[in-house]
Amino acid sequence: MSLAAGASSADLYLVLACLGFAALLFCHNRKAIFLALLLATPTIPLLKNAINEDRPCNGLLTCPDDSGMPSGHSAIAFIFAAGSLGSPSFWFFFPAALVVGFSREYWGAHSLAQVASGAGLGVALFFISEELLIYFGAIKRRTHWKVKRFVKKRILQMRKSKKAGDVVPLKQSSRPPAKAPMVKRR
Amino acid sequence: MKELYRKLFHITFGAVIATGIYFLGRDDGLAALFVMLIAGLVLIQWKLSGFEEKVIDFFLSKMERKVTIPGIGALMFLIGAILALSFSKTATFAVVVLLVFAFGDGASTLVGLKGSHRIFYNKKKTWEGSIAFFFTASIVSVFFLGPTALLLCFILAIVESLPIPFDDNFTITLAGAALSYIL
Repeated sequence: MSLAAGASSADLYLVLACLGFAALLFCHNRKAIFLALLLATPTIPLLKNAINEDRPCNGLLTCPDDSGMPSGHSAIAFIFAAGSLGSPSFWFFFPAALVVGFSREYWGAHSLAQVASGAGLGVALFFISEELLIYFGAIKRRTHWKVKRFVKKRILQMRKSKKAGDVVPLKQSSRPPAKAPMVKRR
Repeated sequence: MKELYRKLFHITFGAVIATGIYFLGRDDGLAALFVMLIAGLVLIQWKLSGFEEKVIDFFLSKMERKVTIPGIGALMFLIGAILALSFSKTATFAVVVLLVFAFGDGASTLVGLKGSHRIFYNKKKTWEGSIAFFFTASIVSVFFLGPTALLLCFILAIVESLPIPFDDNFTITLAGAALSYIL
């Protein structure tokens, strides 16, 4: 109950810890997500104090004391949604982020504008963290999406032909083998 | 040619979003951008999962740079618009920041590609591009802010030319939002 309504730091850290644990298990962008969470921890209170916009407080539960812009819960939830982009876990984290965002609005803790602002901030923090880690060499840049799709298609083709019992289906095909798209690094 | 299409789309997209925010206001504008952000994330996920759609594929083949995520440019612009609108002092200032970014960045890339005088602190960019940013952005924004627009465009042109590793959708819009409290 208090999780839905509250903006106390204890609640925030509980949400952060639960989603962080899930991300550790399921997300392939763990490092960027954790750096984004580290960046979000001081950024969100700083922005709340700087903008100092009131919460709507017209919901069903008691209203938190601090300012409302941007929504910290939405920001954190959308860090995970952005971090899981491109993996099957997106279909878990993205609806979860929407539920977190809209529940904040439903309970009157935030307006929709504050939730939107938090969501935008969360996605931005994730991509900033990813760029920072790439810049300092901690992670490699992602594979180009066309190359990834090409590899996926070839693997599926090979699996199908294996099931059908063909010995060398791709090399002996009458069609010339498709070339992987050429991709330059940025 | 791809860069020309890309920047024309960038300018048009920016102008449409800025006009929408101007008429909708801050709260409704943010709600509309939130819906677009949700749709954008779902479309990118579908595209990464192998989903093919003729219209989207046409736009991606004509305008997308060699990037690791399809449609990331448009998504970054949306996020930049959300950040500008959230953190600017007034909605009008956010509209100006978006117009400056859309027109200035578009002009700086198109002119800068033809330029030959490299900026000493960022060899990837040219003086011609930064000057084009300043003049184009000034023409667009002076109607809203008056002479203050010149100072805003000058500072944002410098920010745009800096060798920062982050996407300029974030740097310019956040710098613009911060300037709304100073200017």
